[in-house]
Parts: sequence; structure tokens; C-alpha cells
Amino acid sequence: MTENFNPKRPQGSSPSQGSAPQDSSQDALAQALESLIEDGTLSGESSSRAAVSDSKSDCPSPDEWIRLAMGDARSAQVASLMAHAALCRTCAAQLRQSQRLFAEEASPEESAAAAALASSSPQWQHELAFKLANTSIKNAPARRAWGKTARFVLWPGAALAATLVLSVGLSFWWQRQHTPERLLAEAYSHARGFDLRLPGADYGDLTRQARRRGTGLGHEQPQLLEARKRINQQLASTPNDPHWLQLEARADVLEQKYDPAIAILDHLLTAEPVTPSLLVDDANAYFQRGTCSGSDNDRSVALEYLRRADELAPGDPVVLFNEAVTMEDCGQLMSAVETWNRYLNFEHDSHWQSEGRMRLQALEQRLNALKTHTN
Amino acid sequence: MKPLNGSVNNIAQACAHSSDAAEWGELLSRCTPLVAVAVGRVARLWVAAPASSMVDDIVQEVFLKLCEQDRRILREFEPRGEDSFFGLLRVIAVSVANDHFRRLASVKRGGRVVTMSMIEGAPTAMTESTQQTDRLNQSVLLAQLDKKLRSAPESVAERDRNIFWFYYLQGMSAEEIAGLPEVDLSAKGVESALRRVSTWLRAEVRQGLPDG
Repeated sequence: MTENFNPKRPQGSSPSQGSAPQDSSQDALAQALESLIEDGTLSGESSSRAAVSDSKSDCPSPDEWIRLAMGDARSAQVASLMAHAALCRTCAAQLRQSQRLFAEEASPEESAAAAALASSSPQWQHELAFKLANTSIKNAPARRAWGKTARFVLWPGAALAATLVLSVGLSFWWQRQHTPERLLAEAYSHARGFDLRLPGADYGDLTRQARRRGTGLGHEQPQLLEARKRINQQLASTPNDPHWLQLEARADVLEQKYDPAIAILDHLLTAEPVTPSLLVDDANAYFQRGTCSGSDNDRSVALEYLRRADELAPGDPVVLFNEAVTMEDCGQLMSAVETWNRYLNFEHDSHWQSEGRMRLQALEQRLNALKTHTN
Repeated sequence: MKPLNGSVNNIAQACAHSSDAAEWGELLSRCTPLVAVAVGRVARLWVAAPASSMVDDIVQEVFLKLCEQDRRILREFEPRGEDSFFGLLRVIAVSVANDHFRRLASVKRGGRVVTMSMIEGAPTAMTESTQQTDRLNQSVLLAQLDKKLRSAPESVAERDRNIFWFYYLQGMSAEEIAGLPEVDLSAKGVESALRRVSTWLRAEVRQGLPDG
């Protein structure tokens, strides 16, 4: 019997070398199988195991194994990752490692490596503790810090402030209602051209417009034109401001110019900080482009970004709504049902809630129909 | 100085609103080893030998993450069991570390990183060409076996085929395989699937049926 797959065999002694699989291929195959089954695992050694594939450029990146371990991979991806790792030595090792990411117990090697780090020293922790203690805090403690000074300064100041607030209130309200961000949201709600939601936008009925991608209608909505004008003015003086760049990309999405929107938003995500609204905008651009072009990949990217946004802002109804729509589009029907149910717990706007409920009902009917067919 | 007793959950909740470096110091001393281990695990997935300075930087990044948006994570933390903050922190550490390496990868080469093999290859006594020939032969035979396994999906499901290779080729134990995503079997179930697939494959090979 050959020892082709025996991890303990002396290297170079394989009878199959140079001959398999041309002659007596069935024999060689039978021997290979026996060797694999009888020797391989029982020894518990893996140092010289064979593999159909080794580390190659088309192996999944570590990110994919980590997402798999975090339960963040689509079922189709899971199947494909598992099938790959089953036959790839390097990826099987990565899969193994990734499955230990959340293990509570640290191995002696891991503990030793952690203990050798500078971050384990009291000095390092002391310095970081000061830094962290001085980061900004919301609510109560800020008032505590004011202490006695507040008593003498705050009350007279409050009277003055109240007067000021009253006098500038209306002006502030007007400006707030007409920020480019608000104008874009109004443009979206006024003529909602796609399923996914825009951050900060009120409800709008779906009114799908047919037009060629990347071309304006020639008669854009006044809100959109005004927003464009003001965004361009801001970008003329601060061309790298991430806020205005994000709004520019959002306007691009409303005008169905997905490629420039994606270029801007991808750049902003790489440059950081990554915010839920940035991820939602980028996901919108990818999803819309994927819908127009039929690209599964674009829509998968959209889902990936929405999952990240969900991690950063759990309970954000805009994120959950878009995530559920995208999951359904990607065929993840059970996950979509779960997400719609989560969404309905967080959405307080009756119109959006109603649309969410209708979509959930439609999805459940679809699932029931599928079950009936399979039974 | 305030007394610093209490569970890590309580300390984390206190730090959500605290400017007291001593409280933060206590949180760091309890949590840094866990964060360092989690970051180290992610780092070793991306690079064979991560620099300790890099791991230190990411550990710091994890704690700074807790303070983003006026310490939102800490403010919104709701204990769900004893020391549940450790579980949350582990997830954050993995996520922050992964994002760190992903950023590096996208900056360096557009998102794809070529990783180094974690398992040592064949012994050095063999010449390179002999190794290559041996590997080629092994690969051909394994590919033939895999083809047979794939040829009868009604007898060998994709999951069971993977189980077969994870066990016999990759050397995983039945317990390890049972813990993998979408396997959805106990260790006993894995062993049973292995017996079933092995028996089927042996019979197939013995019959000498033509491939595909």
C-alpha cells in the first residue's frame, strides 16, 4: 500500500512518485484513500499533510475568516469559505485560528505574548488612563465639574442666554431647516426614487423614475439644486472637508451618479472616522449601482457596510430598514425577517413603520409560499 | 481615592461618566490582558509575526474606541451576566483589530493581503523538484477523490464532504469540526458522517468507476 498521505511516512519513499496517476490510477487512488483514512488523523500530526491547494493569491483574506467567526458572513459565503478551507492547508489553519478568536481561555503562549507587551506595564496603563479619563463625557459629570462656579455664573448667564436664545431662535430654526443636508433629505422625500432610506429623511412614497444612469433630468428638484449650490460653495473653500464631501456624494446618489459617489465615500471610509451615516450613504450608492447593473458584488458590499453600520449604531431605524431591504435582495430571507422585526421595535414614525410592516408581511407570505412548494 | 472594588461591569459603567484616572486605571488593569490576547489573535491571522508595538497601538485604539461619541459604548453598556463586559470588549477588540489590518491591506494593495503559511511545509531533506513532484502527485490523487465525492451529491452532501477533508486532510478533530460554522452536528454526529462518507468512498473507488 502506498503511503502517499501518511503524515509520518519518510519523505521521498512514496511509491507513487513520478508514476501516478497515469498507470493503474484506480490502484493508486485506492491506496491513497486507504493511506489517508488509516494514517492521517489518528496520528494527530499535521505537519506534512498534503493539500489540493496551498496559500494562493485567490485564497480568502483573513478578514473573511474573522467575519465568519463573528457570524458576519452570508450563507453563500460560508459555504464557499468552508469548501475552500477543506482543501487548502493555509486556509484550514486560518479557519482554525479564527474559530479561537473569542475563546475565553488564553493559551500559555498567548498569555506570555500579552504579558511581554508594553501595554501590560503599569506605566503604560497609567498614562492611557489619564488620557481616557480626560475624553469628553455626556451629561451629569460635566455639570459636576462646573461645581461652585456654576452657582455664581450660571444663573445670571442663563437669563442672558434665554434672551439670546429667543432672539436668535427663529433665525437658527430657519437655517436648520435649510441646511444642505436637510434640503437633500427633502429632495429624497419629495420624489423618493429608490427603496433604501436616506439618513435624516422623512417618509416619501416610492416614485421610481426611469432615466439613464449618471444623467441629470435637466429639471432637478429645487431643493437638490439649492443643496448642490451650497455644497459646491463650501467645497470651494474647504475641498477636503469630509462633511461636505459626504453631502456631495449623497447628492450624487440622488442624481444616480453612483460611480463618483462611491469613489468619494470609499475614500472617506478609508480616511476615517467611519460613521454609521457614511456607511449608509456608501451602502446606498453600492446598492443602487448593483441594482442598475445587476452586480451581486455591489449589493453584497452594500450589505457588508450596513452590517457594520448596524454594529456601530444598533437600533438605528434607517440602518435596520436598509439592511432588511438589502438582505431580502441578497436572498437572506430569514435574516431579513429578523431584521424587519428589530426595525419595528425601533421605528417611531408611523409612515415608515407602516411600510416596514407591509414589507415584512410580504416577505412572510413569500416564505410561506416557498415552504408550501418544498413540502 | 475612591474604592475600586466591584465587578468589571460596575467599573465599566462608572467609567462611562468618570474623569477619575484611578477608575480608568482599574478598568485598564483588568481588561488590558484580555484585549491584548484578542488583538494578538487577530494580528496573527493577518501577519505571521506581528510587531509588539503594532499590537500595543491597536490595544490603545480599542480603549479609545470606548470613548468615541462621548463614551457611547460604555454609556449604552447593559450587563447581561457576570463580567459580561469582557464579552463585549472581546468583540470590540476583534473588530477594531480587524479594521486596522483591513485598512492597512487596502492602503497597501487594494484590499488583498497575501498571508504566510502558518504550517510548516515538507521537511528540508527533499530537493525542491522532488517536493514539487510529490505534491503534484498528491494533489492529483486528492483531486480525483474530491471529484468522486462531488459526483454524488445525493450520497455525500457538501457539508459531509467538507467534514471528510477537514478530518482526514487537515487533521481536525471531530470536536473541532463540530464547532465549525454550518456543520450543525455533535462530535458523535461528525464521526458518524465520517464513517458514512469513508464507507461510500471506499466502495466507489473499489468499484473502479470512471471519474465523472
